[in-house]
Amino acid sequence: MTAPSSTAPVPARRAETEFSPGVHVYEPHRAGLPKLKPYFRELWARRHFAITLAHTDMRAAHTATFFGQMWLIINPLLLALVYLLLVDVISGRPQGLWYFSHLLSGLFIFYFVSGGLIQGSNIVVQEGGLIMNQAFPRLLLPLTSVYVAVRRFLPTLSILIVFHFLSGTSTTIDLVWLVPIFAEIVLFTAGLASFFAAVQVYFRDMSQFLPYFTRIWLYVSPVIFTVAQIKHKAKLAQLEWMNPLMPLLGNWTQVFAGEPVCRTGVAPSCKTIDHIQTVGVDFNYLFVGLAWAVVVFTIGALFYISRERDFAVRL
Amino acid sequence: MPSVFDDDLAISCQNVSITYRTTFEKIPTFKSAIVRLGRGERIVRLVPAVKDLSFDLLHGNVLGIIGANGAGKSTLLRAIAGILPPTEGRIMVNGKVSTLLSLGVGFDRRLTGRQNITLGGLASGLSRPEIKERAEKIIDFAELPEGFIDMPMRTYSAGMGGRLAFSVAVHLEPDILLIDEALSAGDAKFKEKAAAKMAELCGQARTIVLVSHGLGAILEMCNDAIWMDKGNLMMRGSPDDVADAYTDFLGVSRTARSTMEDV
Repeated sequence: MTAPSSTAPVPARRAETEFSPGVHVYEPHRAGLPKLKPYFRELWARRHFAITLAHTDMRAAHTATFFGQMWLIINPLLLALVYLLLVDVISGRPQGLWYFSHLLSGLFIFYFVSGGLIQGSNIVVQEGGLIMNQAFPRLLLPLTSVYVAVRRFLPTLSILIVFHFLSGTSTTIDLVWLVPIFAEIVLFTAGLASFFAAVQVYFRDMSQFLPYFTRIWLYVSPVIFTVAQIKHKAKLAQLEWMNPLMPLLGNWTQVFAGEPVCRTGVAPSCKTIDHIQTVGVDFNYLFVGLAWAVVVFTIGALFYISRERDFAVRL
Repeated sequence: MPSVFDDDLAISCQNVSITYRTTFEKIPTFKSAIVRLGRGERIVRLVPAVKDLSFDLLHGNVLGIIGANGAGKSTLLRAIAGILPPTEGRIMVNGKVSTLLSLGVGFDRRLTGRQNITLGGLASGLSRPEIKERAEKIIDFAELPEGFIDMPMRTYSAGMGGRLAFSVAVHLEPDILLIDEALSAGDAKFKEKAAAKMAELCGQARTIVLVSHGLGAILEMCNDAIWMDKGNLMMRGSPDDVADAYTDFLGVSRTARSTMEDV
């Protein structure tokens, strides 16, 4: 901590944070926050460290397998097939190519969020050695997990694009909106990952709960159902403004896959889909999504930073 | 206690106490938290690792810290490195700190030695070109067997890992180097080389703090020593005097001292 004290005049070369050169003063802290500006400056200065750490993780995860990096695409594709079969069985009739495109776009982005969250929640405990031996802004660790999740997600975009063309949705300039929507989702995920990374230090069985929690979250988010379907289901519709993934993923899947239009009933449950209609970005969702992302990131990151100096004692 | 921070001063600890709060269970879980809540218990054990410790150290010195296991030596070192915050008191550190703590520089065993040099350098805030510039010096100094630098570190022996860790720590050009028991891994020849490098660093007005429970290293390399016991500072003085008092305290004969590495 560099909190000024009345007993010591501030030296000219006084360091701004515990990570920068100069004179450092360490004093007791009571779960307070360090000065955020120098903290984030030091964080930015170590970005290459975070990136190197992330690449290490990715290389280690897949080098030993036969398909190697290909698993990043094979995994979610198999997963989408599983869900397609599931929906086929439950609805009692085969779903069309459009539905598969919708399902893929939703699943891939959902697994980006849950993957970043689950890896992020483990990373502080996992990198305990680093924490015990080096002083650096600890927020780098969950951000590294989110970076890994982004790098894993990007190759799957190629699959999404293929099915986008196969599904019969017309390709318009509206797809550009996917960039700010994705940015919102990344920020949201970073906030979640930071929050749970700090919680995991105190409650190690958090990582046991999380997969079940994310599974339920998947079912109430616009992944298996479309936004229109959720809005037609009274119980799920109540969750619309409580579930941050509703605006975030809803916007994503709608812009990506469009919306089928039926002669009667709600698509895609109706018998015959008339045509696929492109859906522009929902500005209401874009705004609410941004609000969710900013609030969750601010709370998650500040909570993490306020606890991070306690990690070395708790690991 | 200096009221103005002097440029010559490397480290100043003022009434530093460090207390760990540990719960009874080794790994904290929800279940145990709920069970404890249900019983209305709050089991937090306070472990005072360092108690009201004060000392100043000027630049250009090698300070040895000796003491039995659990004396608080490593905790103090981590606090000076800025990893653990003190519970009470204040620590002032003047300069760039490089640490060589018991777990290495946080090396990743899946990576090659060369990649670990990059990772360690980046973590301490160096830029890629700065690391590249130093990498050859680090590799030369560590004297690993042919080809090992590009092999994963899990294939290294403990001694090889320790040598690379030492080499990285000294070549990060720290103003203050903190070393915890790290020299026990190297062989006699490397220890000699390490001692020479440390003497060179001190010649450049840099500061080294060496933690060991082996008196040999302290007597050979340090010009100043502290003896800690159960978190208390027992004595500060020349390494010879401190070692004498420490061996008297332990009841080990003085002749045995020079031959035994781990007293």
